[in-house]
Amino acid sequence: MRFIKYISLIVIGLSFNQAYSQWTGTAYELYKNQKFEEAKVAIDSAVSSSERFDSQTWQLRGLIYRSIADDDQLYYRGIAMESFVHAKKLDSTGIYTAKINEYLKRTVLLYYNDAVTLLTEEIEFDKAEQSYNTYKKHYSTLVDPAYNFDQKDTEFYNAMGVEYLNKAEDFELSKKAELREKSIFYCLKTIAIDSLHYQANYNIGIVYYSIAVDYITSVDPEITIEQLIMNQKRAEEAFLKAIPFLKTCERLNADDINVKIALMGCYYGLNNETEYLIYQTVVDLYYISSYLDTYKKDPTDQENLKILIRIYTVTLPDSAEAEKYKNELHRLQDE
Amino acid sequence: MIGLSSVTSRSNQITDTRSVVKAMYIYTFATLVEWPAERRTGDFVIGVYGEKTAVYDELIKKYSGKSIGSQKIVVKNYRNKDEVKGCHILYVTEERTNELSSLSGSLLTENTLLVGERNGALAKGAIINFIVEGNQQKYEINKTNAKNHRLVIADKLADLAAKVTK
Repeated sequence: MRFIKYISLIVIGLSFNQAYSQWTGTAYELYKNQKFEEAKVAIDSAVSSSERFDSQTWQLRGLIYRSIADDDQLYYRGIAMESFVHAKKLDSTGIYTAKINEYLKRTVLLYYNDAVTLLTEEIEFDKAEQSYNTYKKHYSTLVDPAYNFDQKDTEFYNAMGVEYLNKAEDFELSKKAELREKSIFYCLKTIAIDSLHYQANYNIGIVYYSIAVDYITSVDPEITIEQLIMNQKRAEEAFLKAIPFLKTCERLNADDINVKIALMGCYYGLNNETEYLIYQTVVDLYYISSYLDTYKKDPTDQENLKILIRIYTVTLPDSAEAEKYKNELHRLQDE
Repeated sequence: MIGLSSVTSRSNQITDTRSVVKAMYIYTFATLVEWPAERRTGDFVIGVYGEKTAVYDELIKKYSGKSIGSQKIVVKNYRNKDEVKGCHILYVTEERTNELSSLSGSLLTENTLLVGERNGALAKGAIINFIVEGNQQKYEINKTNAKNHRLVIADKLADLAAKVTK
């Protein structure tokens, strides 16, 4: 899943129409033919010659350095930006301002794209955040000092939260706890900007719910009674933390069954029978047809029979139906 | 959107945390109650009376084959009273609470620790009863019933109980 859309980069056609000076012209031909390393040598010669007073020479240098894709790409990107900034200084008439600004903007956006790739494909959290912060710094310095990053921040921090949570599932409990804390941290950063951010609220609710469940289920079965009581207390705290975030989601979208299931799980874990039954009933009404379908397809599915018995005994009482499925289950268990 | 990470194999089913807690409590009861010497040999039988509930599944999954002292834990399910025999602990499901009185009488000589899960179960003969206090699963103890079954409740178990009836 991708929470951040890549900002597409459009290759900007160059409009170096007029005749270049010697080195710049050579560099431009090499650039057009995508021979970036050779173009780099030519353009560096240009900026060491009298051609260095031409804004277009520096613009071209920026484009060439920006196009080099090797291990030193970030270093070259820095040179590209310096070149664009210098090109702007030399553009005394302002004729190229709009174009140079566009070059700068597209170069700065590469840091954002890097951040997305580092986060969602390479799962390099620190590097991703570093790249994102670099993008923000350069954007506000070189592109638009008044730019409001709220929208981008919520997307990025929420994506960090999601990826930390996804990664947490691959680890054992202590590492999992650390990653979940990180997930909460970034989702809270999202919520600090947009308190009604649906996914961040949902994610935090789910993280706390999962933490609570792990306090109960991921422990040594040969637990002492003191540990059991302590773990129940910790689980209670985590369930209680989950509820406000899930309730926010419920207010934002009352139809999301995943939120209902999560709230049902919290109230169940909290032994709050009244609230639990409200949500369990909603969930059962939503899914009962699928349980009945499953029964039709496979009447020997004992887990499904247990669910049907629970539904017809507790949430949607029908003693005849409950008895029917109970007899069916007993028959299977006695076989 | 990510889903619940602690769901069961059916995506709309939550983890049955209550049953996990009850199963773990039952195990701790086994470690904190003393049975008469003649019951300290052979298998340690934990019975579930009623349906094969999630507590039964948890007991099987977590404790079947493990040991209490030198006794190997065996988990059994009973749906008929006549089948109940030789249990060290008998967990009586909520819907069978009304049968506690007669079970208590018939299991007196077997020194069975009767565990209930409905209000009033102690009055019907249960020795330990699961109750909810605040948001947590707790238990209450009837020491007289324990004494009648010749069971000794450890001080720690009594100290941590929500309520102890002498």
